[in-house]
Amino acid sequence: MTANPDLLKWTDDFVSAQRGYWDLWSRLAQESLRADPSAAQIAMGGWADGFDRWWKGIQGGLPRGEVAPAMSAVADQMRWFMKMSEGCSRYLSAYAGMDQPTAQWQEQLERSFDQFRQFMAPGQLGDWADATRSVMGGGPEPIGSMMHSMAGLYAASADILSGLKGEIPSVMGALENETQRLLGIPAVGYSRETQEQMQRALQLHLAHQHAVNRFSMAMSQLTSESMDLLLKKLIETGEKGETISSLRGLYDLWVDSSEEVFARFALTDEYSRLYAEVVNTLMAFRVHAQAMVDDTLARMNLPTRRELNTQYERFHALRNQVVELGRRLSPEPSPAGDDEAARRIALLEEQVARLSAQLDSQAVSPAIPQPSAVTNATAVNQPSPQSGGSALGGAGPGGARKRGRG
Amino acid sequence: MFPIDIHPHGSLEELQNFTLGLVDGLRNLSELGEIELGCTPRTSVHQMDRVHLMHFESDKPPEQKVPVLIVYALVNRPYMADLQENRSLVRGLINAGLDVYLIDWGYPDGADACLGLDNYINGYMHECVEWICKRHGLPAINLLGICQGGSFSLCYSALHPERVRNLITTVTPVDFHTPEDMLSNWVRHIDIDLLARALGNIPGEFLNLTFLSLKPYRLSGQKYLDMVKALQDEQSAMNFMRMEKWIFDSPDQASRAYREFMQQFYQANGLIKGEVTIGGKKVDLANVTMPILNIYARDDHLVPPASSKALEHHVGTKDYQSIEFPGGHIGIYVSGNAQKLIPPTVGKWLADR
Repeated sequence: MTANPDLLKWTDDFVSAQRGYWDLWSRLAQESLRADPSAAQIAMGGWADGFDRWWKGIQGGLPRGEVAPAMSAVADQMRWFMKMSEGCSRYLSAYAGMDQPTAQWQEQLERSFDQFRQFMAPGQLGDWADATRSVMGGGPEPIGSMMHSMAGLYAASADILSGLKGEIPSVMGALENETQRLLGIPAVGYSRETQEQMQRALQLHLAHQHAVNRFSMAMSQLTSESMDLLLKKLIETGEKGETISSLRGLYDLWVDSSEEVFARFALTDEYSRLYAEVVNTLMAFRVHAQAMVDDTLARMNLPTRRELNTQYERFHALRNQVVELGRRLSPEPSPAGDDEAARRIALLEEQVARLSAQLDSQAVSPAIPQPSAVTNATAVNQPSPQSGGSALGGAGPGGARKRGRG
Repeated sequence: MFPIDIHPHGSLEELQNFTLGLVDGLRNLSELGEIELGCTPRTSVHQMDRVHLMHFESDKPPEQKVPVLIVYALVNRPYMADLQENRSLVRGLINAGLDVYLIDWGYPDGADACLGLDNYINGYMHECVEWICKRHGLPAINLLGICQGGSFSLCYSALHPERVRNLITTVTPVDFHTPEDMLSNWVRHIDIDLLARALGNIPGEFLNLTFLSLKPYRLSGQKYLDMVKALQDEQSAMNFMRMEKWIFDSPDQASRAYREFMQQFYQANGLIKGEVTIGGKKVDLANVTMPILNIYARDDHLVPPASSKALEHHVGTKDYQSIEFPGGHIGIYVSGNAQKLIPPTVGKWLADR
């Protein structure tokens, strides 16, 4: 923990100022609500907008380093939470606390939930997509984290077609078949090979976009099913005579519903194939793009990834050979357990030798036992200091000695 | 009764509490400083390339003669087993009278892309075991595998049974094709060769986000609303950030090892079929004849309990015991319950043998 008094004071001042700001905002919102109860959604919406502006405004004063990504994730979730509160106050709060016959409240719930669902749907309010995106970790709604990671891989690839990224999806919609046909026209002339490579790259890119679209459509269906399940859970809650009395409770129920629907789908073969198609098409594109970059580098007489991989492969094969040879030349060092066995054998041999000598002396003439042979046998089984290193080239016991393996 | 009883005034109050909670949390966050991980003093006693064999220090001599080697997964970092003072499997094992070692696999880079399972298991792991055997004058030691490290430990025990006295597996995948195994379902149709060719080493971020996608709404959304509450107290803020740091500290995977593991274990389910080949030798779980303690987590979303429990039917040992931990994949190491249950149980089980 930091103990810099200046920094602590600055932090205290900063937090006090922010607290004051939100206390004031809160008081105004509550007062406006008291004055006009029908303005609830305005108060909620205003809160969300206010939060957005406030968050942007305090960016410079936020903690940096390791905590920054987490803070950003918190803000994303808060935005979504606030937006949900607006939807709730617009469509679901009106009947709060009403105790009516089951059929009546269910009808009201289904009707108002329908409006709530539309309010949340993409297109009606762009924030829903944003919110789900943030819930899912930043990827295009609702593909989520997985697609986000895919996007990272895209950017990390030698993306020679990046300039076309924005164009291709629009081409995809109406002209996909036509585009495929055009891309199939044989290349001619001096730059034939390059043309073919570009055509192939575009085809692979289109295939990936196609896979992403199919995946997105399946996931959009899930979003709808999640809302269906949320409604079902709400009805079950009401039937039990229970209520959801907080925004957080509603949010948690939405999370439960979404997870349940997602988990069901994610375990199907359909999901497995859709997901694999997204990954496989992206990887195929990436491999092709890498080959194109390699060709360009080779023409410039610069090192290529292909060459580097070959070097790694050869180096690794050599390394394994060296290890194997080392093992053959010097057998693995005997663990001390074996030494213990050897010591016992040596002791036994020593006893046998002694008894044998005694017998000899009794039978023939007095003789001195020859323990030296036994001693030697023991010595043979002791690991020599040189054998302490392992086949992998590590240091022997006794210290944190570092030995490079080249 | 109409099931939603949320009134505008209450909603505003909730928003106010959340927002003010975040404001107050900023103070604690700004004062956290560097997030430190790993609480037990440790020394790197042996190094092989990027791999370190760590030995944990203790105030008193270990009560048990045979040390235990913790084999962690290649995914994420092993300090999860020693996260903080009151959440440390390592500390618990030491308190249970054990001498504890751990393999830190390090962060592979492009030059490590060709490292395969043979290098990891017959190379690094074997060298660590030999090193400890030699230092302690023992023919065999105890292994404690964590998740993928448990699968590695099983392979090692099958290939080098003479070096493993007792085996403890924790949240270890064994049967990779159980119906509720989401991860397994996701990789079933992926062209792993193509993936490895395209990416070289597999980026840690890719794996990490895949894991988060297993429960996307809870792990990437709900958790951050909960964080607002955690930020209200310096200690809980630090605890939260420690976990957060661990989750996102994800080394890249050596391309070949990843390929071999995904294809042989996940796609072909080779471990229980006796079809996994490492260093030219088949891994036959029937060779695993030493005593086994298999600990799995009831609510594990990464390694379903059924996947771990399958071990019993495939190993050759006659001394097999399993324990169900009431928690999740990570909770088994870091939860308060785990501290009370896991290390003492392991300590006693080993002492009895």
